[in-house]
Amino acid sequence: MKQIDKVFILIASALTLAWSAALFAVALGWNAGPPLSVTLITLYNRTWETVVVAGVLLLIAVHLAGLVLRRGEEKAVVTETDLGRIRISFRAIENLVCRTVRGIKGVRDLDVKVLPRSGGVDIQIALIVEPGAVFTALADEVQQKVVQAVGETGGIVAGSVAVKIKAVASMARTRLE
Amino acid sequence: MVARSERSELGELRIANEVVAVIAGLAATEVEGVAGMSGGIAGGIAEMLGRKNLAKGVKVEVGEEQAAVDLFVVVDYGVRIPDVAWKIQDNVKNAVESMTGLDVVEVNVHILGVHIPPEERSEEQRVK
Repeated sequence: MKQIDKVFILIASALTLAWSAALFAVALGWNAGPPLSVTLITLYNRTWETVVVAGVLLLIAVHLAGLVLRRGEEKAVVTETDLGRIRISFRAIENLVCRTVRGIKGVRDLDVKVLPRSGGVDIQIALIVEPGAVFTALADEVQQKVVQAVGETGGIVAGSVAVKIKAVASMARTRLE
Repeated sequence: MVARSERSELGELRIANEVVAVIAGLAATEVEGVAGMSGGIAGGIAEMLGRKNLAKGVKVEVGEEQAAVDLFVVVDYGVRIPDVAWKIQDNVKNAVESMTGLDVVEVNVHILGVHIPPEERSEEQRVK
């Protein structure tokens, strides 16, 4: 997310929060001045509707702010050392698997999903293969290389590597996207 | 925000949190295998920061005499990640302790992504 996107989202969040607060105030009996009343007038004397709308706006504001402010505490393999924790995010493992599998002859494209497992990870790979590839041999190679890469590079145990052949690429490779 | 304030006979020494973060960021990026610090995840990819934004990939908590550091990094493809992470922990602890006098009690390393060099990508896809 670019810095400017974050700024706009934070502004939208702040405005939504202010709107929500104003509606809560109206529900509690606050009589807004002329400029605000144009926006809020339809909800005067409808306390419960006002509270519901205000609550929804509050949730939206909190969600928007969370998108920007939340630091990626995403899923990761965690190792404790004397000096602290080492967290290797699932996304980093996916990067590693993608790069490893893309280098295998017969693989055109792939999707990777990393799942948590006690003492390691499970990996699911969906492949788009080149025409003429032998599926079983290709799947074996993919499994071996992924286990090796994740183990040697990441120091992570891949409990299982499930390979699914999603599609066979067409013969004519597209030149442009 | 001031991380550390120390008074001597000649006056006061203050070290800002930002300074501790920059020291830690620099020490981390010095380690071979570190592609850069990360500002988080954007569009499914770990956002890599330039050298001007070193402190943004670092979170520091500083007390009177101790500090804890969290580093968010992207590593190069092909390196052994645990080895790189251990070196980062060691390098950051040494750098912060020697420069600030703080006792670094924890260095948490968050590997957010693996960097694939652009030349490898361009082989796979020449145009978009």
